[in-house]
Amino acid sequence: MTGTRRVRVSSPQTRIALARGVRGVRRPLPLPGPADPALARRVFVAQRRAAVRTVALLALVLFGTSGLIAALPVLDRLTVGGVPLSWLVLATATYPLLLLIAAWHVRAAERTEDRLRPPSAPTGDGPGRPARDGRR
Amino acid sequence: MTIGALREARLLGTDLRAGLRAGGAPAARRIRRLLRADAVLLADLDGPVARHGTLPAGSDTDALLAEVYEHGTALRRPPLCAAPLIVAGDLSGCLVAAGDLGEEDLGEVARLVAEHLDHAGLRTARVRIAAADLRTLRAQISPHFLHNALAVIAAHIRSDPARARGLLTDFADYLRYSFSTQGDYATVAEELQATQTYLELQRARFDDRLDITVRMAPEILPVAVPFLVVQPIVENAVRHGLERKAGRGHISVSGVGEGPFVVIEVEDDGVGMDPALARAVLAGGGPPARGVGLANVDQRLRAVYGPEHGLLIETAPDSGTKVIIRVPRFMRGVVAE
Amino acid sequence: MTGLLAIGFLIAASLAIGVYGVRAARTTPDFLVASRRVGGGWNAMAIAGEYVSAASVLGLAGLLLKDGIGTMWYAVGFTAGYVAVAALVAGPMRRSGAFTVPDFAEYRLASTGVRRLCGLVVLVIMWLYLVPQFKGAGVVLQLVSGTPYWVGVVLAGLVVSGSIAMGGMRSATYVQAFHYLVKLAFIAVPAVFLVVRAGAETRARALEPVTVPDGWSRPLLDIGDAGYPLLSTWSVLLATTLGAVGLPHVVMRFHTSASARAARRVAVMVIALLGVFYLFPVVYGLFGRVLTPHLVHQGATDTVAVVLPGEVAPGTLGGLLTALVAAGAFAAFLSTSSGLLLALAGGLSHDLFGSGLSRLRLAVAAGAFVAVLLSLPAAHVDINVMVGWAFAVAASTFCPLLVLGIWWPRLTLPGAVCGLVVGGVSATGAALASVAGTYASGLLTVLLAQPAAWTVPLAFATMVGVSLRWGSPPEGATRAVLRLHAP
Repeated sequence: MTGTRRVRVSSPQTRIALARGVRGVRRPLPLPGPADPALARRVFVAQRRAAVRTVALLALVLFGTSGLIAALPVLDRLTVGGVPLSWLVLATATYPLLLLIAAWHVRAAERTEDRLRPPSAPTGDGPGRPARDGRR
Repeated sequence: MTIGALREARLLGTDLRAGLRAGGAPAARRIRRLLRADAVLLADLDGPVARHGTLPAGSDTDALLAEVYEHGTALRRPPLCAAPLIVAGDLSGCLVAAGDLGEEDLGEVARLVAEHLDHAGLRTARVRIAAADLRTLRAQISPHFLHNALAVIAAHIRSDPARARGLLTDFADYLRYSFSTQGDYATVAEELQATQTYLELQRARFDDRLDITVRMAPEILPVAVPFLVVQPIVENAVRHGLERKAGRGHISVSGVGEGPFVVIEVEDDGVGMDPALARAVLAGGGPPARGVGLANVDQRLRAVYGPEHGLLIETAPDSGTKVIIRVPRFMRGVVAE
Repeated sequence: MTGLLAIGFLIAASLAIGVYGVRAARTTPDFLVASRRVGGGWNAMAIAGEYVSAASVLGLAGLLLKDGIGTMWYAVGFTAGYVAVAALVAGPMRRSGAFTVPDFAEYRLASTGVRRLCGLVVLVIMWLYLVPQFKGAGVVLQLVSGTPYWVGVVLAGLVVSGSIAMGGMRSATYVQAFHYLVKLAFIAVPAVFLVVRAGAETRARALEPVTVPDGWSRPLLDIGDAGYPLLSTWSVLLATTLGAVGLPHVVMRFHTSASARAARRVAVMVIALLGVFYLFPVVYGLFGRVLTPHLVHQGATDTVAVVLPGEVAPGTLGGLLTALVAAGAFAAFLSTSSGLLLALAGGLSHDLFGSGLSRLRLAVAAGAFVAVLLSLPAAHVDINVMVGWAFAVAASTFCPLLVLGIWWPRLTLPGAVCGLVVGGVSATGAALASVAGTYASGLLTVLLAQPAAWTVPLAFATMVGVSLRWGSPPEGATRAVLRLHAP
């Protein structure tokens, strides 16, 4: 590039706003609601039920395992392959349970979404605009 | 005393900000104080909505309201008086007061309340108008480009039918995106896709004298931005930067996240422009042939995000041009459906 | 020396990946923007990479050596947090379009003023979380190069703010994902080596329950030996699980997902990644008790993971393994702190001071400076304990805000504000009181050292109570909530 040095320009409004350096008050934009409120409410209720169930299960696993270890000191003395049972429960057994609960929740939530999808809405994740995959 | 009354009148407006139903109760209390009345009742066409103080026993407000609504004028039925609320020429409610007060005073307050209700209506309309404004500002597809695109496809049909078919698909995708009516916003990924198809068509026109680089941080691809803000800038770079330049031209489109902001830059190594002209274009002046797209994008960005998020242009004659969009990642109401 | 080399190599690799992450893509007919969206797996690794902090790499092993096997409840809670994230916030947050928690507050409460309060809370949580990270970096640098602690902390501050300035704020996903792999490899390889090399006798001794110190082998957390093991454990579980929901820098990562569904799935993947990772710190803790018990008396238990390989295999091999762990710990520091610093800087410049355009770099520098200052006197506070406080504050402020904001349309602005203030003040106050003094009552000790057991319910109750009593939900609240769940 051989020309002169570039100069930065903007609209007068932008120039003044930038010089002030503080965000001004913005006009509120309308917040779009769901296309079908009645259907959206049904989805909401179903998802809330699933969420409550999952949180209850999570509490059961966390407080249940720790409560069990607290209530049954005998678990410390039982060993499996030389490792105290209570240690095994704590260090390894909880993670698969947590994964299972989460996976189960996601499946339930996605099924609800598929079941209660507005008929006009596109299926799958993508937005409704054209995808270019596999056109050539 | 006068200042106090003005203050009360202004606060009455604050009470009625969201309309009679939402703000009736505090408004009735304020009106009662203002008129020094024993009781005040506000009604809309469906009946009373708010009351302050106790109305005299045995007063038949329903009959009084019906009478006011029938005649559309103020009435005096001691100990009550009533005045209609005429909002923007339409009868829309009634103010009833009990006590020893002049008909003139009541009428004045009723007109004040009506005025405030009118303002409240306008205030809600303003949000709708802003949205409608945005929609009218929505970028228009340029006839210049339509013509060129079809011409270049026609030129390829015999020499390279496969390429022509590809270009036609690009063209169809581009049209479908620009005519898409869902929402006023799109994701950065969708914007890039549209820009991409546009550039494909332009490359064919330039006999591949056009080099394009796209550098995008993947994090910003799902961010919602106003519909068609990137493509018009690229179109401006092609039409006013590269078309007049001899030899190869280069355009780079890049996007990164910077904390809570998204920065998208379109840079070309074309002929550049006089900064004064760029300033005039953004200020809304300038020759009509130049930078209509840029001014439109700038206006829409400012309308959506506020004045500090307008376009920034870095340019000089023979130095190419860089256009910078810098907007927050999140803005309430900006959602790509 | 090897350690310093390994750390230097790590920093160079991170910068290289940061550049590669926004690599130039020439236009070709096959260029597809859509395919360049961050895949779920990468995003999950990036989240895990940012989340697995010095607390996990160094702190868990250290605290385990000091306080006993019950420390692993921290790890369980850190992981369980993502079950709550998947179930409660990931999908709806993505649909709201909010990038940060203050964004969400504005979305749901239709008020720009609430941003400022949220920005303040972001600052508190992020600083509480940054201090242990800087401490970890200082300790590691001290160990591998022999420099004083404060030099390490200052150096760490310079490195992290420098790496952010050099483009770290632009595209972090692949860097963070790389850091997860580094951390996993660098903690797993030496751990496996330890197990194999230590010999049958040491292995058996490591697994043998001990009676001294009392309760060490009991898999419950008895904070301060106060005699309330179950209450302590539950309080830690509440803090870590619900804290993960409200951590500002974690929430931001879900914005990268292409859709709400993808965000939810990513959260599940994170659980698997964390579960694998947390199998290893326990090895260092158990072997540390057998091989390096002197660290407990020196008050240097946070160094156990770095010291241990040298104990087992003196010489070059040990040096190499030490370097590996040190680099892993430094990766933990680098990725977590840069995520934290960026979130902090955003909160400082964007939300708290409302400066429209970037004072971001300045805010990064200021945030790092304060964090370094706070870290200097923190040399002897356990990493994991401080992290526990950060989680407790997040669990008592942003967790109720997000959960109620997403699932309860009746939440009002006064309710949210009161809940944030009450939760933030009580949780921070309890942590400060816990550092400031010692208390005769065991119950009080526990409830101050890990306050989540009472501050979380208190914050939820305040938000619900105030919302029901004062104010009405902001205009369009029901619409705003329903939109978060509409497919």
